[in-house]
Amino acid sequence: MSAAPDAGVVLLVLARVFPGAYAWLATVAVPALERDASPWARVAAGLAPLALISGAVLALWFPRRGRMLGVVAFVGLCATSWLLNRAALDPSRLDAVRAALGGVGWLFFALGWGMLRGWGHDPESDPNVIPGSGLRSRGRLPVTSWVTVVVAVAGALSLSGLSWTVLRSGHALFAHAVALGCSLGLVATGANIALHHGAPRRPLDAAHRVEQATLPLTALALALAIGLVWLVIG
Amino acid sequence: MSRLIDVLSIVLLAAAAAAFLLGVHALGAQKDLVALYWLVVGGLSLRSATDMLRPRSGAR
Repeated sequence: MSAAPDAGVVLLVLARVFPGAYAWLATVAVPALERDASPWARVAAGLAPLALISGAVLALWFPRRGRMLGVVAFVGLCATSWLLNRAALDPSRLDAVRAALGGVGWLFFALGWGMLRGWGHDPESDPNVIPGSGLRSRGRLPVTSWVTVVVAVAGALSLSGLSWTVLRSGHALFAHAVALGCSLGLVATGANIALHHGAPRRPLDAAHRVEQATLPLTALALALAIGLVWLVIG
Repeated sequence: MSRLIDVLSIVLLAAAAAAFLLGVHALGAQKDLVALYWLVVGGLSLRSATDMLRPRSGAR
């Protein structure tokens, strides 16, 4: 058990509570307070911030239990409230700006519960640090790696933004799911390509690399040919 | 030649991003079949770019 809480501890608790409270207010509390919300949805929504705050405080002494309460129980209660209050979450009734701001709140909630360096703590002063000079990178990524990362990240961000233009109630959520899946695919593939370009040794020569991609390349060519015919006929 | 394949993999990645964007845009324009087409094209482009990277398990 530690002594009186110092500024660092207070900041740590606030960093965990504030983003979650904001996300809860924007995306859980507002729908739960609507007229047609079920009482159980309100109960779940009301218990969620209690779990968040008590979890953030408990995590100071019992990190695992605090996380279970502040992350798992909090998110579970929010999800329960949403499930019990589906009418209020119909895409046609959602406020896009508030939902987007709430999404940012959830992002910072996840970051706030990440393991950060302690306030004023210097990792180099840890007794387990191996003395000696720091390890330096043995190479630099080529320009093509950076181009790849920029293309992948720009594509992923553009997809996330573009998905908000889908206004049909039945398709809006699907568009967000598609955009998220495609964005993850783009970023993962972009990272793989970028690292491959920076690798000192290539496992395969060019001919084998093309040969490996024969099947998807053929399917892609076929799809493009069908698209061309479709364009001409249509 | 290997350099050319590196550039091709980036082009395929960019093509996948463009196809996905066209797909989501078509979804917003209520053209579901067109959206499906572009999403399939994007998926195939992404798969092609990935398959050019490293040997598959059991490959020579």
